[in-house]
Amino acid sequence: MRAPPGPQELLSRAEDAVRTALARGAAQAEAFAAAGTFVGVDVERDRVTYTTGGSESGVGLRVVRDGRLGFAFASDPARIASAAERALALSRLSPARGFSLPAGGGRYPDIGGLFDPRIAAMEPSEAVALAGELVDAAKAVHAGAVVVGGGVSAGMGAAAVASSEGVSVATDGTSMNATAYVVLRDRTTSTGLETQSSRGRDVDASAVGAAAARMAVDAQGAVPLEEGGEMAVVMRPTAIAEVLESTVVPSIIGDAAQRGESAWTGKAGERVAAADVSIWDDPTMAGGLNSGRADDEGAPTRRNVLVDGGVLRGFLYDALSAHEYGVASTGSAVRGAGGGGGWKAQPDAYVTNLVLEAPSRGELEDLVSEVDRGLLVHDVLGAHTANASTLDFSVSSTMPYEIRRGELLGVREPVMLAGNVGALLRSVIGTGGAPRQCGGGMSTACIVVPWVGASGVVVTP
Amino acid sequence: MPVHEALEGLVDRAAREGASYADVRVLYVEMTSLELKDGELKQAIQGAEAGFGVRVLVDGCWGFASANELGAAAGAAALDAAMSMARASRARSGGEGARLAEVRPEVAEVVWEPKRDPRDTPIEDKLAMLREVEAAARAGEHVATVTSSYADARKRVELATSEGARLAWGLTRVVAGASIVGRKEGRSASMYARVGGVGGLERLEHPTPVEDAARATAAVERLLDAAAPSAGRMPAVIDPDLTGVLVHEAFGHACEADLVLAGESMLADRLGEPLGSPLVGIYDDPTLDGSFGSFPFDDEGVRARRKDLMVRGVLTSFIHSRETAARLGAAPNGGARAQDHASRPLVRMSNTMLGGGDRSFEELLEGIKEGIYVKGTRGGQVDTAKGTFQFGAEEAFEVRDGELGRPLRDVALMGSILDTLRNVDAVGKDARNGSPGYCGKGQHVPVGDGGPHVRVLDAVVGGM
Repeated sequence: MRAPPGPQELLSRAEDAVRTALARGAAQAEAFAAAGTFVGVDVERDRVTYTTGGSESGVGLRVVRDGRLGFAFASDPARIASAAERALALSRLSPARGFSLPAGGGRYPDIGGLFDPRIAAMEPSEAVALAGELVDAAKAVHAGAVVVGGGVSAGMGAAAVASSEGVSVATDGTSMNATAYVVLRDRTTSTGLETQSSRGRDVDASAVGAAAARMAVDAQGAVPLEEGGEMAVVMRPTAIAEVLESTVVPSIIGDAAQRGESAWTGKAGERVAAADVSIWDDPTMAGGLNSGRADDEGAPTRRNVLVDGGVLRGFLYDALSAHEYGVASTGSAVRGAGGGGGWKAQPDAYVTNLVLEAPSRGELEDLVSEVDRGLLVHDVLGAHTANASTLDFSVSSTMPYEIRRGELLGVREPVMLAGNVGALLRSVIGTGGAPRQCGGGMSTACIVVPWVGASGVVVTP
Repeated sequence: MPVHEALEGLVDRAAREGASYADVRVLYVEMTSLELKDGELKQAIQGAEAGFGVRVLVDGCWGFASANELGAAAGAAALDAAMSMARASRARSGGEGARLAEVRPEVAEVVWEPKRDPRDTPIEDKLAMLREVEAAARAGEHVATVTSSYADARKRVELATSEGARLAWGLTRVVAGASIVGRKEGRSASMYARVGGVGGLERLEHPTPVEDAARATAAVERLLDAAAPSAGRMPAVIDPDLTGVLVHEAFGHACEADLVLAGESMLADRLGEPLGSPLVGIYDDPTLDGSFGSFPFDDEGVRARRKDLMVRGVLTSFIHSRETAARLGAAPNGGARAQDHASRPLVRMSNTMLGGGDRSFEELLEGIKEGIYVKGTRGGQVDTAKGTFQFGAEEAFEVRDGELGRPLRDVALMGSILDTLRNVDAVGKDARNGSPGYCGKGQHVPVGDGGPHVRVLDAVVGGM
């Protein structure tokens, strides 16, 4: 990979931008400079069809004048001065909030496992070879398995924040992903999807291909579920993660809570989950997909407990929302949570690595053995249609497995699952297997969960 | 010359170094976006950016590399990267490599200038308009929160190909709207207002964002008191917004030739078959004046054109890139679009419409003894391989004895798209564009969709 500008170079770009903004009349200024480069290999129908790569960099500039905040960005370092002028002009439209850009200081945590030189050194040929291993592994499981989509991607990036208020911090990191979407047309048509992301070179492309193929093989010969109704579900980490991302994630943002848009508005100190369920956001997790020692406005990161022993303890804030509601920032500023280059967006509070913990029953089989009547769910479709203000969800699952008296019966045809995540969190049966980081792709959040079992989901065959 | 001078030459260098085809696409964007939350300015961004992507085909294998800086050094580095990527791909490209259907290379520059250029209107006036939107949205008694937003973007694309095409095209897009949440006695309801299109501020005139916010607020108030629907099969009248989303999501995606080739479309091998009611015509048209998904050239430089996908119920065409057209032996029809400079072109829709018929809205309701009128969508899901869909309606009403009745909430419409198209028994004459939107298929691109009111016998209606 062609190395992007490193942390020190970005820090000096950010410092230059701050000086430029101050010279043009800003009372305070802060610059976020970021750069990244990536390589991606697309697989379609068992073939590598495209290998792509790119490099992007830019600077986002916040200024304060007369207590008013303005923002602008530039991808071209030569245009920082005009960005500064634009930010100052736009600040006139903003309300005088008495907001000060966050001050520097504080201790940055040491976090391991965020940069792997083997990813930084990865050539396109290596990524193509990995994609080939992914396809071969799927074929080895079943010759009829077709990898219709997926591939391998790897990237490295760096970011720096500097400000007139003493912030000066730079970070860098790497990440990679392998994904396989397999279709098997044998006795019936079945599908399998597996994905793995990591900050290190340890993504096992073969294992991803094999797991997706095995899932498709196992899902052959689905028969209709005979009887629906309310029952327990045991959800794969990626499936429960999708549901949580559309329900719990928007509910724990401080601004949404304060504005009454969150299902958990006004519920701090109340029980929102079973007494043995805890949820926290941890940007300091070693090797975490969204870990980093500084948030996107340069504040030291920390572990934020959100639900402790079933009781709601707090919400996530960046500096501006914290100022607005008279609380402290939780070091949760994220730029570009909605997608796109971070420097093009102002910071907002968002989750980094959201961890859900409940009592482990052991391995997946042990968790399944706790269920009298229910479904094992590998995938959910339509989680984004969940209602974040009520936590209601209605999704479909394409290859559920029936569970009876603790035993896994066969695979069933697609079903609808409807329920409420609040009720789900109060009826958690337990977890199985090791927690897994679910994230990447279109998702900005990383959700760290094992298999989760809970009761009270309405299933319609 | 319409193409950036430091980058144009890359395509000839690529050809000299062994590429059978190469293109370079340069993109310049100037944008403004404003967001107001409960009356307070949350976001005001004005920015400009530029970037390019270079795409090469070597021995049937694609390489693509991009950067967001322009210049000879960045161009050379990106071309080197693209060539090495294409060569790396060869190891696993399988038998048949990519080929491109032929097009006549054009040298042209087409810029769609807006009638009322947003750049001529001060940002203060745009903010003032949002304050009016907010006030209109707040007119509802139970409205709790309002987030209103405005965005405009002016974009210029330059494209050079190793076949000799030298193209530049430009357009402006505007969109404005609001997200409105109401609360009453522990219940909540939400609606979106959104208007816009390709063009300038004239796209915010019919209706205006203020009028649309007033409509959405009235709907929020109705939804707060609406009854739960009874599930079952019944005749349904579908409004232009939901008709548009249905033809885009459940039918249009299955017409994308890359999905057809990947085995992910239930329409594969069915060209020429009568699949829908003879009343149904569906087309995708990037040349519709002012529609949100319009463009003069696709991102491979193929001139935009209307694609008739279904004519009188018969499946007649798919949407193609040059590569899928070559693979399926079809003529290229300008359906390759890229989200930005850093994304490679994919087969995409533009403005997907169901053609108009001859009935008035009242005539569609006539004769329905017990049925439902469904409007707009809250999203949903489709399986293009199986041809099934499920959509949550934004709003719905009972229909009894040919008359609109009580408002209903949380209505879902589901079923098989081909059954649904076969069951269309009357088509309204009131075809119009639905709300502007974005379609996500790994990449996000602006799209339009719409149609008239449509009556479907035997629709499957459920609660959410």
